Amino acid sequence: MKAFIVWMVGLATVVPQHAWSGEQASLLEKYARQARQESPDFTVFQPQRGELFFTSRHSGGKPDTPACTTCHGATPTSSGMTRANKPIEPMAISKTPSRFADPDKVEKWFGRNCDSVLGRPCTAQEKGDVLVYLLKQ
Amino acid sequence: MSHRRVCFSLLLIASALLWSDTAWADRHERIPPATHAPTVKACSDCHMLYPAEMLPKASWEKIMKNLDNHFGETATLPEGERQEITRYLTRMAGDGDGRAWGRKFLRGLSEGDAPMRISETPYFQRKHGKKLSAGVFKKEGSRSPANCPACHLQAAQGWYEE
Repeated sequence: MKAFIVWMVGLATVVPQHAWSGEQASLLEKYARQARQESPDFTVFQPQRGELFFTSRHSGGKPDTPACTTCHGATPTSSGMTRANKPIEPMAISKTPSRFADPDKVEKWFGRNCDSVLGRPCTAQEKGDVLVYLLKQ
Repeated sequence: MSHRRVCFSLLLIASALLWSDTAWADRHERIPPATHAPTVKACSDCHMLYPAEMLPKASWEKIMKNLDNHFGETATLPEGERQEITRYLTRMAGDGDGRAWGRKFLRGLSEGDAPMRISETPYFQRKHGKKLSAGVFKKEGSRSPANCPACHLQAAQGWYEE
């Protein structure tokens, strides 16, 4: 119960401050619920952790895609490029407001890209951290 | 004008028309891009929508069975979607309904050959021979053989000869 209250307070401090759409906020809530199930230590998503995750080189994935930034560009506000030379619109919500409005699309791409970059599925905390980071950009 | 001469003239005109038509077609034939919605949606997020006609059925089957390592990336799809797209691609393949165009790409391939890239087909290599030997495709940047529109500016609309 205590953890639940901590989580609610944590979520309340993050979610309502921003003009995120209902879909974006409910996606974040879904990941928060999953993160709590995955780890009892989970409290809130942290954009700083999301930034580190987004910009770091990871190991365990496919050699051509060591980081999110390999395809998405150096920063979330810059455009990216697929390895087959198709442009990718910036991930930052300020640049591409339609991002993260379709939960199935978000899950599809986390599914593929986490496997490409990390060689494993992302945890709900990793997804949520990246999401709050990108939603704040 | 004698009957023979009329016949000869007509034959000459017909040959000229046929020749110019073939030459015109070679330069101006268009491979209509796929309109099959699930294929367009799933395949064109990351790369140009390559025409199914340019590879044989066996290639598409192999490609669609290995989406967990799709040219160095994970491109997995829900099973229903994967099957639906495989059906479309194999139906329209160069040795399927797409043979009007695809037969060119299948020249030099043996029965059962399943090249994983269009750029591995003998037809592609013959058409791009000079560029391949000049190392044009090896330069860094956008001029990968997978990036048709870098040189064929209208490739996504189906025009490859320009």
